Amino acid sequence: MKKKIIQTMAFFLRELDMRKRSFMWQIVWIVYDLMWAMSVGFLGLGVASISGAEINTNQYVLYLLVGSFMWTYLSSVFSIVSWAITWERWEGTIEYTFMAPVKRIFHLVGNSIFAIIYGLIRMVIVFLISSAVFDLNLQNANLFAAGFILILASISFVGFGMMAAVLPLISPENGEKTTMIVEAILMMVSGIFYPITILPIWMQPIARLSPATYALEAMRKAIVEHASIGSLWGLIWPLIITGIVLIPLGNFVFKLGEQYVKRVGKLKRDG
Amino acid sequence: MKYSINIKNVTKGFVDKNEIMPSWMISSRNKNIFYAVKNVSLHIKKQEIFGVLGPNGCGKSTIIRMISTLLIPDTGQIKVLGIDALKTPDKIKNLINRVSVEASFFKRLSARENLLYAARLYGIEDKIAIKKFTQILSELNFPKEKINEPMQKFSRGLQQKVSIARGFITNPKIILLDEPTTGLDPKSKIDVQKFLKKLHAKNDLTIVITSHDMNEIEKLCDRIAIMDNGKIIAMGTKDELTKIIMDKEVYELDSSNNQKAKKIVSNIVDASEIIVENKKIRFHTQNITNVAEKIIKELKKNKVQFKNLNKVVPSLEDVFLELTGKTLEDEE
Repeated sequence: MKKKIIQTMAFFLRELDMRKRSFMWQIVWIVYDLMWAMSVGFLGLGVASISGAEINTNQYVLYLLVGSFMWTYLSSVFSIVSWAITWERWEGTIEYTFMAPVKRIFHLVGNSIFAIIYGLIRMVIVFLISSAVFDLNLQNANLFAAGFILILASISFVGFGMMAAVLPLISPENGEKTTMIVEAILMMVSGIFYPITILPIWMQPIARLSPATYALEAMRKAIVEHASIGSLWGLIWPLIITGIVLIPLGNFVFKLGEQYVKRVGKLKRDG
Repeated sequence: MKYSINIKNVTKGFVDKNEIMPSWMISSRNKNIFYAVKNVSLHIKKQEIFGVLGPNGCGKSTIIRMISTLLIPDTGQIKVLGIDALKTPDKIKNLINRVSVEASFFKRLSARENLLYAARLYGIEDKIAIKKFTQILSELNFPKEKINEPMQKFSRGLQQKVSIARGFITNPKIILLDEPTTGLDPKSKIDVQKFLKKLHAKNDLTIVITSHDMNEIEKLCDRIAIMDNGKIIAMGTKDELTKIIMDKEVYELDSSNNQKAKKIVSNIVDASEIIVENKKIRFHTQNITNVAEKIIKELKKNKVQFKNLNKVVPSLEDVFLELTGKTLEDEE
């Protein structure tokens, strides 16, 4: 057991060391996230004067910012998990990692724990500053339910990230590009800044497949409408199902990918 | 169990990367397969230092990758300390480690961070790992003060020393060294070779080393396999291998113009058995009396000053030349 913990921590601590060594870049990402969230918030403030319509501006800003915070977090988790292999390919360390007697699930879990903690830190910083700037009224927020949704969404996104991580493994040339496209599609269909009902009819089933759709809707209800965990059950169960299905499936698909690259010889640095 | 590594009839082919179409668009019948390793069998004894010598692209690294569980052979069997490496690769991962020609690291991280990461992957506690890599690096004359510096600032020699420490930190029973000293300065090369000899003498360790540096292989190895074009073309101790060319003698010619001299010699002896080494012409012949006379005569005729002609002890390079008609450098 101790050995397995050390092996899992190897990936967590490696990611941490990499962030420490590129500390200024971490500041850059946080500033970028913050500017993005604040731009969206200002857009919310300006929408009444742009459209001439009478709307509840404070509620609209909160609606947009919740989407922005959640996406900051979820995209960070997804990117770290799905880019774990890409990094190793760039550095050429992948053969050493794959030669080591570490089960792939501990590899992916180690990365995922880091991704969740790192994503949370980034989101909390953006949330605190944005809340102060926009003077957000969180008196109605059910923070307990919000935290619960965040944990559930993390598990789903880790599973999604694991599935996506196989792409750079089996295709060194195109895998990372495909991963970015997957992330972009998730962003568009999951209703970060709008309800998915405004999407074209043919896009809505795709939106229903994204765990982010359920996470965002549940989070908004918890923060804006003070919804309880019980009342959010309709949005919670799809998150539980995607988490239960995607994590073992991601691990299984990853193992299949590993066997494939070892058979065709794609582990080497030049692919 | 007498053998550390048993390889039986192993073949490994790859789809030719020069195909214009992506491989998935080509039917398996039309794929151009390049065979890196062709029906190779190897039996490496316990505690042996076994060398695999051959030019670049001859299949040495492919064999190392297959033993390391990083590549699955198309056919054949690989056993490591009696364990089937293809059926139960996880069982042998604790027993082996590898040092490759590319010192692959997270370059922004320091040597310490990289080594701790490598040790943790094997479940080794930090304090044990630190003790171990400090000792290895000191034996390799790695400057202590550089341990916390990012590895992107390191010279090739320093990176390779850290790579060697990474290979040995896990106390492997078998270490696979894939051209570990290629590109190193002479001082670092000697440090590494001394370290390997010392460690081998102290531990119950089998070392497999690939190289195209015949001096290194001659110096370090108990037995040697010579590879060319995916096949093992000869195997044995250095003495056994040099007996292959016993029916011929090896001579070295020194002259004032070795380029011209090489042309002259190639018209007299079999052109495929001439090497230019240490600025001297080295050739194989069965009858030096006739050959020497002709060479000296032709050198005079072409106004090339003859300096000397000496019989020399055959090297592995001569064996390779005799067997393949080319030198180890030909394909680099």
